[in-house]
Amino acid sequence: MRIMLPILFLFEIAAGQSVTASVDVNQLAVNETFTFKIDAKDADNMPRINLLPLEKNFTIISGPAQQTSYQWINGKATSSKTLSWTLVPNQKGRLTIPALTVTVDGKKLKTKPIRINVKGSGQVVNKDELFLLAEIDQDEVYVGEQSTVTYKLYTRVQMSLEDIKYPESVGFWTEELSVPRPPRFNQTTINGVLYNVATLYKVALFPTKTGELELSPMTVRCNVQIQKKRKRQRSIFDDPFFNNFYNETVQKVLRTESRKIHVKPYPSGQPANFTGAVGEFKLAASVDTDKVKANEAVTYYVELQGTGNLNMFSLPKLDFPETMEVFPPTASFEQKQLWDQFTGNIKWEYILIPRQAGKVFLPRIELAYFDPKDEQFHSISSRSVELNISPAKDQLTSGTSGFTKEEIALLGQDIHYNVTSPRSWIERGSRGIPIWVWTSYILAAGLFLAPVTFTRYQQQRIATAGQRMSHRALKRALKSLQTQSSIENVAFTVYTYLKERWQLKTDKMDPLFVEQELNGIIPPEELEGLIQLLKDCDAGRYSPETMTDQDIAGTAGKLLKKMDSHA
Amino acid sequence: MRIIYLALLVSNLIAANADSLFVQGNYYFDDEKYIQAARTYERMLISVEHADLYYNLGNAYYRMGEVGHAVWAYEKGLQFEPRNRDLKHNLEFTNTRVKDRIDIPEGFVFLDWYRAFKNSQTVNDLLIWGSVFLLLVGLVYALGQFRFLGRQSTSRLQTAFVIFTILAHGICLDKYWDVTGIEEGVILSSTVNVYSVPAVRDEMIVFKIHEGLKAEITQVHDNWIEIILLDGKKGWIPINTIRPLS
Repeated sequence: MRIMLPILFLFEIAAGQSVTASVDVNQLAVNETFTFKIDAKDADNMPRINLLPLEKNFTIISGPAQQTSYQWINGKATSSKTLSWTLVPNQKGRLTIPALTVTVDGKKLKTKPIRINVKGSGQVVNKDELFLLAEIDQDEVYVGEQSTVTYKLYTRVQMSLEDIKYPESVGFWTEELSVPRPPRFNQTTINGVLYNVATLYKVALFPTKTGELELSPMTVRCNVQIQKKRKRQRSIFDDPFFNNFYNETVQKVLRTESRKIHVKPYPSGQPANFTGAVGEFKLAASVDTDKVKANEAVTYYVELQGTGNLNMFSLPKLDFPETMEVFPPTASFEQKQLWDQFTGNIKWEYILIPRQAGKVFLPRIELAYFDPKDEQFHSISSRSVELNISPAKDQLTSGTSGFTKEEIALLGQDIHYNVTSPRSWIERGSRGIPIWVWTSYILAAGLFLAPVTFTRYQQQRIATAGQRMSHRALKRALKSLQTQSSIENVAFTVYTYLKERWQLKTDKMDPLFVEQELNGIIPPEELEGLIQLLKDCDAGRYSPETMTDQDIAGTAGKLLKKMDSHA
Repeated sequence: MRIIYLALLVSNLIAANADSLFVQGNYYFDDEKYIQAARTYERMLISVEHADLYYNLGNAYYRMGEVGHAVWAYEKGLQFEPRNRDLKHNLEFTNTRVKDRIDIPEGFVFLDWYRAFKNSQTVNDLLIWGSVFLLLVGLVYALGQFRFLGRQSTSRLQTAFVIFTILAHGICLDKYWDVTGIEEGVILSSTVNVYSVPAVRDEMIVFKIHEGLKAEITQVHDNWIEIILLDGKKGWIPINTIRPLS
């Protein structure tokens, strides 16, 4: 043992943190409460505990209460974090608080199981003197149909309420109808016995699924005053006429019996737009003003009135015209008090800003609901509201969304579709000035130069007219000789040639004048030939037999060719 | 000669390749595989360009929900064909999904008209205008010289056309300076913090901008870009949050 102790101590240090579970009493009667504590030493954070295994035998009345404490032992600080619950046993017998897994700073630790002895005969108050009752108005309902549960406390003894744990039933949408605080007691008789009765809690339950649904019990802790006989030994001073009784306060926990509600599915014939509304409803829609200008806000009210599971379903989404800007609606719910059937009205307010002038229909609202009274589906709808929107005063749109008018018009559209056929692709970096820009520039330059060029050309033509004529003289003469070789023509051609080529004066053309003019310019033998030819022509003109036309034309041709080179 | 031939061959090859890629991209687009479609179009952009190519690329990005890239592609397409109606419509439509709305300070009306006209023309458009007017000047001069036109009408027409020619070339030069001198970009990240210095410092956030916003790039420093918004706000953003339009 001596050896063991230090080892144990070491182990403790190594573990660092430790967790202990404890109870304040372990001998108690049914309906008596006790405190269950979990203590974590040297924990940085509150431990987390899974209490599920505990709930089989015990009910948590309150808790957890958190507490952190510091201690200094031998100058060393230790801290501990404590969680505590108030529990009540569910049954009598030897019960065990099982070993619980506690997560401390990420580490999982286990507590030791604790035994608790619960005696059944601890009853200080008779069951029919103080009890809690859950009254259900109907225990067979459709999904979404209301079932009202009233929790009542019946008492014939002096008592005071300590703590009420309201039930939280799974599978229901819960709407509290009344929670009187403090509860008021009335007197009533059951089987001739007078009771004080108080309604503690009235709740409307709307089942969300079909099947057998269990109501979770309500637990009430109360202090009961009971009179007890003094257990003191009789003394001589005692007198039977003295009051031998004294009052004692005992804590008692009351619980309702577990009750079940049978939830039926809907009959067939469910409309497509049914969203789960059960009950009886009315719909109304209105706008705050019928004179609307573009870009000015309009409020669109939708009001749903009725009895049933008002908060359990949603209205279908409204499709407003796309020319309107719609802000998310604000919903306000007003419950009618003091009605056992959950009744009220929901009002939705949509703020709309029309962006375009014109006639617009605000969407109709349709609601399909199931009426459990006649077990049939019904459909209601509001009338559709027509809005005549007059154009805005100024064309500029208000800055609420920052959209311009053109953009508003675009909102309902989509992007245009792709180009599908291949194009003449432009190679990267090959972009330059297009060719016909150059063409145009060059043409323009040409046009500027044209008049000057033309004038110059014309002047030159005029200046060189004679020269050009002399250049062409031989060609013309030869051509003329070839086409017509009569003597007359030969003479005429030669004279013309001489005139054009050698610029001789035209008016006096005879061989003598020619000889005189051309003497020294062309070689003498050629001149001689020319003169001879001209003379022959003159002679031939008057006596055509001397020479043939062919000969004379041929000689003339040869002669002119020879001559021409000297010019 | 051989080099020219080779270049021609290469360009033909590129064009043929681009055609098939384009068809492929459109096929992906119709199949609603927008990511592949965009990737295909982007691959084409390595070698070729065209307004319609940017248009399809923008559509693919829009369908992917990449508003920033879509705006970039449409803007890029409009550089080639500033009067393309589809491009303009889709850009306007996509811009309705851009969160930032910048109010441009209202300017002189004529200046706005001038800007609007300038933005509707490419440099080449303006060059064509200029050259055509110059051609008309030449034509009128020639006709006047040859006495086909009266002295008075010649001088009037000539004055008008000379003014137009000078205007067109002036605007063209202005546009050219815009195109070469001003660098712009489109924000790609959904939200970008704009810092007053080129560094990540929470206390230096000047303002925030969002995907799809067009901004002018004024400076580049390491991995940071200095931008200036249309309303004159200035700041630094990381280089990878913006795609330049040049």
